Amino acid sequence: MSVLLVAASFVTVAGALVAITGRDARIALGGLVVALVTAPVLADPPPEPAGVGVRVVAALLGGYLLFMTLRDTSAATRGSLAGLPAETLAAAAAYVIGYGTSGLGSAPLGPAAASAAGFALAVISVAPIVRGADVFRLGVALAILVTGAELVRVGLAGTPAPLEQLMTAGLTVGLLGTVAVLCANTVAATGGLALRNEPRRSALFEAHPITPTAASSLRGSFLPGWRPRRRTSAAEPGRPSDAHRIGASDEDAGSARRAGPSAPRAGWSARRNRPTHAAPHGEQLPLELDASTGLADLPALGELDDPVKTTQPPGRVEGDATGEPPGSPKADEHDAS
Amino acid sequence: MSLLPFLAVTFGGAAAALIARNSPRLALAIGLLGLAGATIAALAIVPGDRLAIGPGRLEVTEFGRLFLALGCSTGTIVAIVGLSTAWQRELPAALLGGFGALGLALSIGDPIVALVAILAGSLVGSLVTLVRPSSPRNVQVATREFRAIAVAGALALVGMAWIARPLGPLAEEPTVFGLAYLAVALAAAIRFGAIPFHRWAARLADSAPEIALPLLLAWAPAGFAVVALAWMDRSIAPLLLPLEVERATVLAIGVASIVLGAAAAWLQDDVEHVVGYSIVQDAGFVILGLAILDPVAWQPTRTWILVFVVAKTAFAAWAIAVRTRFGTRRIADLSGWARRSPGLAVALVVVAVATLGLPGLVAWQVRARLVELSVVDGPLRIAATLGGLAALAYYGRMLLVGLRQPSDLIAAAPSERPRRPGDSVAAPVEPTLTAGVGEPGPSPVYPAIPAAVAGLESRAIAHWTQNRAPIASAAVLVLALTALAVAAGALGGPAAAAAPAPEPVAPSETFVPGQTEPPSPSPGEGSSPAPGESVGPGQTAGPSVSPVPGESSTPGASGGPSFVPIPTPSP
Repeated sequence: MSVLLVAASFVTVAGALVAITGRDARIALGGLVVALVTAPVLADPPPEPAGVGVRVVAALLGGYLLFMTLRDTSAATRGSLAGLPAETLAAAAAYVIGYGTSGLGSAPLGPAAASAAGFALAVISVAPIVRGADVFRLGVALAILVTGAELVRVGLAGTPAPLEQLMTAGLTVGLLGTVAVLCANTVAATGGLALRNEPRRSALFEAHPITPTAASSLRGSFLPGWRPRRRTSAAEPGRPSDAHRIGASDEDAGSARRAGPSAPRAGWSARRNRPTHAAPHGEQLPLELDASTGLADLPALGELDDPVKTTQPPGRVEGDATGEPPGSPKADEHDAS
Repeated sequence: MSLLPFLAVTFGGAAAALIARNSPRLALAIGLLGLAGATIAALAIVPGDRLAIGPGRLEVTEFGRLFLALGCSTGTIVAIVGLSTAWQRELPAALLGGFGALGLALSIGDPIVALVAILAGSLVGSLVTLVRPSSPRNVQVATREFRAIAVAGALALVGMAWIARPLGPLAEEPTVFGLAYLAVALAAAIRFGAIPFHRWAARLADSAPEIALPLLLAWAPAGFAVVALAWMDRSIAPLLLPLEVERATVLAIGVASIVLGAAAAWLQDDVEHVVGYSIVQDAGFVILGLAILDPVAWQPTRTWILVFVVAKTAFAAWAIAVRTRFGTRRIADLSGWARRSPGLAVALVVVAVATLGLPGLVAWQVRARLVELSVVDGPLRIAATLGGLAALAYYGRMLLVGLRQPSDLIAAAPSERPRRPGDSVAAPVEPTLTAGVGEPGPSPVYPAIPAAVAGLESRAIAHWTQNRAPIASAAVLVLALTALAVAAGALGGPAAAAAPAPEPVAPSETFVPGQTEPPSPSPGEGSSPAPGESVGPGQTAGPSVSPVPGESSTPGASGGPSFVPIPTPSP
């Protein structure tokens, strides 16, 4: 396998990763076009230049159709819930598996790099397809899934004939054109790219929760020695705003992004001032369990976030959400944060 | 090459209609002329014609010709029904683009390439789901259909590609073929919306314009099934592998679709839902055909596909005519509709007969044959047989409702009697034209009835506007009679269904001479194909190959294969 093929497969996977994880739809679209442009090169023996040219033109045309739709929108998507590092690791694992199992039990007619890239593309496309709350992300994921299937097909059955290249080019235009039409209709119907106006749940399983959630607060009250880590924006100047993850609107997220990393987080303030009943489902759930678990006396979520408003639960004269008595070094550190 | 005019008319017409969409009258004219021209071009296709494209080629078959001719002709009539009831302005372009892609796919011998063409055509057709004004629900439904198409396509693509090469020692593993077969069969089930993959189809029936349902739920998935069947018949069936588990899975999906689809259609109180679930139910027989894995299933399955698409098109057209005529889609509110619209009542009866068939009709025989070949004796066969007949329940229910005393709503609806402009007519049901569809009928095409404008055009428009009801009824009746003709075996349906699929240029099958033999074919059965000799459908002559009942008059029907391959001219 030539180095060029491996490099092309890396570029394809990298473009797909950008397409899947990008929060700006235009950047994601750029990644998608890169993936679609480099995918036809992944064949051994090399395909005929005319076939590759048709595929490249189809990718550019489809990308332009999508771009025409996106240039009139805010272009904010929710990005990947898992995050770029997790998606990259998943893609890498799938790449290795696809490379190692090239041929799926028999001698393949195509390069192992195509199978590897196909596996990687298929794996990273699964989450948006299953969830599917954002039309743009769903469409991009479906395009990546089909491209991944085509790459697996190239890896198994060899270089496509020119007629198949022509049909695949038509399919590419059809895929991206359909996504463009769906996005245009979604913008007309909802004003954005998100299809469902459901409250966004904070992912409790995320490696680095942005804020202490209700669940973590409850944990703190039961485990006195545990203290949630909180980061400030000043401590992470290069980290983009994650306001969109915690229930803020896209406009909030966009304004925070435009204001830069040192500006106050729009989503953060929105969340602080929000009534408890407006909390996302993932945060409401533990609070709704209070009645049955006897935890109704815990402070409300907004009060936990705001150290000034932190209340003392009845029956607990001392201690706060951190489980530390007032005045203790840990409690002071928590308040200061 | 006789296929080229067809492709030029369809793709060119679709592109022109889309480009001219800002001028509704021009787009309408282009669309209707394109559909009519495509019908003529499809009828002019010469089976056996070949067109070389690089190392590949296009080859037209008799089945492809009939499929396209039926599709374009019924599409034209459906467009007329839409014009007289509830219009969807993208319908002609979607029909033209979809049938163009189907024509391409049915002429390609390589199943992978054909599959890609089918997917592209399905995506074009799915655009007709979106109506104006856009709503999140409509977009969500279109998104679900998009997802079903893409996921099914990716699944089938990988399944076909897995064994499209010399497999070496892997050829001795039936599991490999079983998984590939299961992937393609499940993809077909997803594409049809078969139970348990029916959620997207149910939502689609609820939200998409009824006029688009035949294309979305019947024609495009039927093309997918034809390609999948050709692949199975060439790559899986000749190997005679013991794939009991895989077959049982596909069989369960088929029987579940037949039984539960009928039950769901009977329980529904919405005409469009009834249409959607009836399509799911009848698609179950196609799934049964995919579960047989024997060359003998080739002809019955493809014959049923022809009956299925035309009958369901007629049923969907009937539903939209009823809804727009009476202004409701609730069956309970349709009391007395048959008395008010005898033409539609006759059309419903004809559609029911075409779908279920009668003893002696081809539709009846192929359904019975598919059940007989796929299900061994036992409760499952009884369930499949009774489930197929259960369609009588929902057809009969709607007919019985229609025979009651007409309610005020039904009595106020326009009758089917032709009228002249100026005659007093019942209040039109314009508000219902937009209910649930969002596309305000023909009014965008004819923005106003120009009472003061003289001339032929205005008079024609006035006549059309006054006679929407009888025009729609007549068009639905024509569709129903076409379905009955196909169900009766007219138009050369069974013979066309028996014709072999286009041959691939290069052998892309699972084993080649010199490689490991395929796993354990039964003694006396067909052996591995020789170089350049493809295993065509039905060419595995053996005791299991038998003609469809009632098809003994078909040339070559007695004895060996149930059909005689059409001689093809040398390229």
